[in-house]
Amino acid sequence: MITLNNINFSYDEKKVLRDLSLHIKDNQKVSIIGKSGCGKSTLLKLILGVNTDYSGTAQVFGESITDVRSDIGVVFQHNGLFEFMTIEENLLQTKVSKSDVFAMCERLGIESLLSKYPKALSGGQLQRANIARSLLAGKKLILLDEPTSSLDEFAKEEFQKQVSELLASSDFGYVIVTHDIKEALVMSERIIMMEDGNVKKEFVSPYFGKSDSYLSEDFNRMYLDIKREFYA
Amino acid sequence: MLKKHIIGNVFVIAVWYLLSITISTRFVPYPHQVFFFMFTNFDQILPHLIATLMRLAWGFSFALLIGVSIGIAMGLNERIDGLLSPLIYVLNPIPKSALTPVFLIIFGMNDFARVMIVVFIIIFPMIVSIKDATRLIPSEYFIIAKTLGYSKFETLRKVILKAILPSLLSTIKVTIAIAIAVLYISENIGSNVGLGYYIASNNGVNYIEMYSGIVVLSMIGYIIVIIMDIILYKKCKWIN
Repeated sequence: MITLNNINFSYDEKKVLRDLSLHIKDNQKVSIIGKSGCGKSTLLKLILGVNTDYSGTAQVFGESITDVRSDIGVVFQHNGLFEFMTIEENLLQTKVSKSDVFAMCERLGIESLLSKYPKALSGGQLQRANIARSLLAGKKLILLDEPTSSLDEFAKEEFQKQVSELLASSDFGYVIVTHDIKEALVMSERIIMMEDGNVKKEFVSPYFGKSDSYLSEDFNRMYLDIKREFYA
Repeated sequence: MLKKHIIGNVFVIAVWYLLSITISTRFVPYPHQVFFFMFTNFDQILPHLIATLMRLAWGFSFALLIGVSIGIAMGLNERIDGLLSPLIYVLNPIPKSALTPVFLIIFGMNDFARVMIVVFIIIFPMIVSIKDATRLIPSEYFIIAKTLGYSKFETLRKVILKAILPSLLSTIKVTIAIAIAVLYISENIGSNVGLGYYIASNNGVNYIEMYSGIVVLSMIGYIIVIIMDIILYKKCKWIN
């Protein structure tokens, strides 16, 4: 799905990605974690086709990344929905029927918000609407840029419960950039930890799609292991 | 909304009555005298009203077309902005009413000159406002537009024009009063039709006629502002 070889990328002469190589298989669900400034958001924008001034080879679905593509969906931290359209109008931009929009929103628990404008929604509701759009559009790959960073603890857990199982059973791949290790554990099968513009370590999550794992001892042990590595 | 307009109108008419009483009904006739004249002699005012409306309509249409296009281009493209900004910032503060005679000399004492005056007044604030509004469109919107497979025209129609609409309407509301004021001056020079001409030709002679012209001219601006408010309310619901 995504193949990156020896990628280097700089912002104003500051090297953000350093000789990065990465391969993500078709339909794989991946999280990228790391401290602020480690290059994870830059990497996401590169895959998205926004940061195209890179060196090395970068391909999505076998094609070089040169621009934003219409077969990739994106969920931004902010401004992910057009503020001048209602939620329904936003979702109808994917060229599906109103009944499909309603059914998807019902699955995500936002069916009562269809006639509202984005500014009337809470952070969690907005992100669910964002995900609904990518799902309705039938994207082959979805990129999520810190989808829960602006949510409080309760909203974050609610979001993860409603979305993680839906995403886990989906037939497309996605890449989530997050600084939340727990979120990475339940929302992805593969966790890539970044440091100084390159991959530091990788983990496989046995808790993928299991949003009720939070209270288990094993989950917390793995969470602490990753956290220790995070700060090492 | 309606209540506020009623209160505003009642207040203006009350002040007018007060001025008529305190100054002189010869120089400031009572509002009811003016309104009565307006309704009973509307056929006399109508050709002037039509002439003024046509000049405003053409002026605004040209200014919208050119101003919105240039504003969007400058908002989206830094090179175009860099090229045009110095020119616009120099031309914008020029007192356009002072240039009215110059326009009439250059273009002649005709409707085209008067329309160009309106364009010249509106276009600069329009460009600046639309450029700023375009700049404020979140960059994420353009990425989403691409992921949705929008063509450039669809991005313009569905994203840019929608996002700048509140600024556009508000600029029209702000510039309409200035446009009317300068159009009034231009209709005073070398014209024999238009509300500016009608008001000026009755000045010092027929005060009731003169005030009728002033009321009709004011109502043009007032109605346009109300129309903009209605469009804002109906088409820009997300900001309400």
